[in-house]
Amino acid sequence: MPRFRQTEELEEEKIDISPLIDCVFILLIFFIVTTKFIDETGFSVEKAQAADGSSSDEESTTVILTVTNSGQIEHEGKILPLASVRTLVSAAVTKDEDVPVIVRTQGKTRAVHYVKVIDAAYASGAKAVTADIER
Amino acid sequence: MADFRSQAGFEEDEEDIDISPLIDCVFILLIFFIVTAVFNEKPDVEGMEKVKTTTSAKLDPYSIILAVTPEGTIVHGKDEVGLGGIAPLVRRKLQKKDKIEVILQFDANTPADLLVRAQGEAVLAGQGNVKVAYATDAEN
Repeated sequence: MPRFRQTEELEEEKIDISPLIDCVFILLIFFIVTTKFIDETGFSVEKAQAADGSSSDEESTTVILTVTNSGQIEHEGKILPLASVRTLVSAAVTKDEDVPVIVRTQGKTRAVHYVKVIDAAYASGAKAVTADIER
Repeated sequence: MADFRSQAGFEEDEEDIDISPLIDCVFILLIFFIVTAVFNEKPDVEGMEKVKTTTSAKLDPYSIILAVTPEGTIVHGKDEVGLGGIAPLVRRKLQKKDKIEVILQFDANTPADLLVRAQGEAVLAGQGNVKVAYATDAEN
């Protein structure tokens, strides 16, 4: 008889953890379902403000590139290939490290042409590239 | 007889499977998913072809992510917000955080002026506290 009682007490000491496991499984499923792995890469671009968008306070050193509707790149009235944009911007950067670069789009430029020009400017050492729409 | 009974009881004990390694494993998974969970709305747009660029850095995943589609719509989460819907989104997020980032996803065929206009809306609503980034893929 005394032995029987002892074993009963021992069994009572075991905590029933199955509700805990249920709870943890529910949490686990919730987090699996709601988790989204956001892994975005890209670059930040400045925006020309309405206040300083006028040409009055633009310095003469500013590199202004216009991307036309057909995807051609214009600089001071001349059409340049993408490779020349790199040389142009790197030349400006060697003269002035913080040279402002403005990339303007005409109405319906495809984003791929437009963003490639901004990318080329960043790749040539420009610190801040400003996006703008040609008026 | 008594011997047989005790043996049977021993066998019953053996039938209990030790589930503690399983619980350990589940806990590790749980902690992993809690840590990696990002409660953020990713635009629900299919078939956006990202532009590949040479200069690209990792962007903050806790940003407002907008998709500018080639059809000229602007999508946030599941909703089409349009140009006018960007400012309220930015202002709402700025109430919780001082400085925020807006990520613009776009397709190769998205009109560039719409992209710049969307950027302008976000910058104007943020009054200097918004940084806008274009989402691109690394070239290699």
